[in-house]
Amino acid sequence: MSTLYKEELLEHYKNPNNFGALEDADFALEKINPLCGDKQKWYIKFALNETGDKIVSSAGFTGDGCAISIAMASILSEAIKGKTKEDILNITKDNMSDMIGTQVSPARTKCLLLSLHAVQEIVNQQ
Amino acid sequence: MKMYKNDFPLLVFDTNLAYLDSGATSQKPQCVIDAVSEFYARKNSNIHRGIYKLSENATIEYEGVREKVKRFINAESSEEIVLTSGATESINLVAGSLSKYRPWSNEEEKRPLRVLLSVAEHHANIIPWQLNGCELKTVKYDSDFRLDIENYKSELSKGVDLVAINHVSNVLGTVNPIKEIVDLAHGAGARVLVDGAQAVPHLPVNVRELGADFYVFSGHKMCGPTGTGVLYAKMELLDSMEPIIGGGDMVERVGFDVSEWTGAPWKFEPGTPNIAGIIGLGRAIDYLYDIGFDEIRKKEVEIGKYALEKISRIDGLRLYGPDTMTDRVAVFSFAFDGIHAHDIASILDERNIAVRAGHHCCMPLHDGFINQPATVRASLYIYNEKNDIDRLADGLEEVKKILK
Repeated sequence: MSTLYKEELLEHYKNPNNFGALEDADFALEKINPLCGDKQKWYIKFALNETGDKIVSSAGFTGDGCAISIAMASILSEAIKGKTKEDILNITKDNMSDMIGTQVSPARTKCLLLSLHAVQEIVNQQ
Repeated sequence: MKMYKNDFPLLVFDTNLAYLDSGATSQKPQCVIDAVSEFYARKNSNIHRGIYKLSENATIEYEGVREKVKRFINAESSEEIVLTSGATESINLVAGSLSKYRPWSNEEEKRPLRVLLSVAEHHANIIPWQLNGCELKTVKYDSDFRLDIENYKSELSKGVDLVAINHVSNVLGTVNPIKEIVDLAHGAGARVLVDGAQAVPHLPVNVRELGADFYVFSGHKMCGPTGTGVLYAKMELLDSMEPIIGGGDMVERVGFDVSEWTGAPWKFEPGTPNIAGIIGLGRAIDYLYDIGFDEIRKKEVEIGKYALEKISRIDGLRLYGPDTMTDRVAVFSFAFDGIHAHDIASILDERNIAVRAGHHCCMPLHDGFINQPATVRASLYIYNEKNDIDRLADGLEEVKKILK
């Protein structure tokens, strides 16, 4: 048994949501985890909601990575759907820990936040 | 066989820890910790300057370490020993100095220093040369994880000023045939710098027998304190090399127009050095001598064979390094297909097994030879016992269960 690698995290790792390139993405961006050199590429498509705000309509990602970075990307790719730029820029490390349901050690924080940094960089360019 | 674990207070305090990261830094025996704290508690003063007993005694003790290091690597004279903060500083010192002036070259031309490295070099033996504008070429390793000597000969023949190469690879564990490497280099008119950081904890080193022109290592991987290290260079080289760091204590005469350096090795040691640390390094040398390198090697081969046998039975594990203990130290880097090195290390950490995961400061080796972004490395030392290996093997089986 592992307290870090809980069942739900492993499920996301083995069968990640939204894994794959998004053909009609408005933006794509690759981020490298300096800890291990792992690369994660993000694709995001935007739309306007009823009130006219720009929101994420779909997201996808590709790349190799550890269980934490892949599972986190899987969860985040669902969580940002329908969210505005503001919402996404307000996501914190603590929110990420809550979403994945585990506390990572300081050494693994970069794995946890790789996907968030990629997504925030994309929406920032909007 | 004797157990050395009890000499290391951290391992006595944390009996549940399987420490398998000695390639990064070794644990410290009580005698080294005592030597450092005793210096500060009873002997603290600056060296080389004071005209009082406390300072004179500190100087004698500090300079005594130079003598110990000289015997440790069998240099000809203690004046060939520059005391530094570690192998990294030692290499930077040589790279900085040689890129300004090469003592063995009659050429007036200002072309960059041509340095031949192996693909398995640590970043500390790559970046200093790059920072100093050197022209770099590399020698390959073959599929047995040994240096490709034919490739080495052919690269040498293309014109090389300096070969800068590891004695022992911090990833593969391979011991390089330094004497052969040096003989071939000298035959081609090149000098050789050996990065011995991973060799000195494990093997008796005899720089005169090896013929190395420069030999560098760190104290902290061989039971000494962090922030200590050595640059050995043949006297004729050290004598004519220029310092690259300036400060107090390295001069004969200082004027605002021009200053004159003192002789080697002191011209390379400006400022107040890590006196307590260096004294600790001296004590670490005593500690290793007390055990004896025959015993250290015997123990390492025994546990290394056990580890090789044990991990080779783990299904799906790919070892990056020789599969016997011949010309090899007990450093084992490996990977599993489809399981990331960092996940392995985190699961092992949950079981209190300390290994390293990543590129181990050898990105070019991982990118161009191992073809994995990251590996897991278990590196052993005198205090490790078979039980640590059993726990590693069990932990790896658990990793597979969790992540497959």
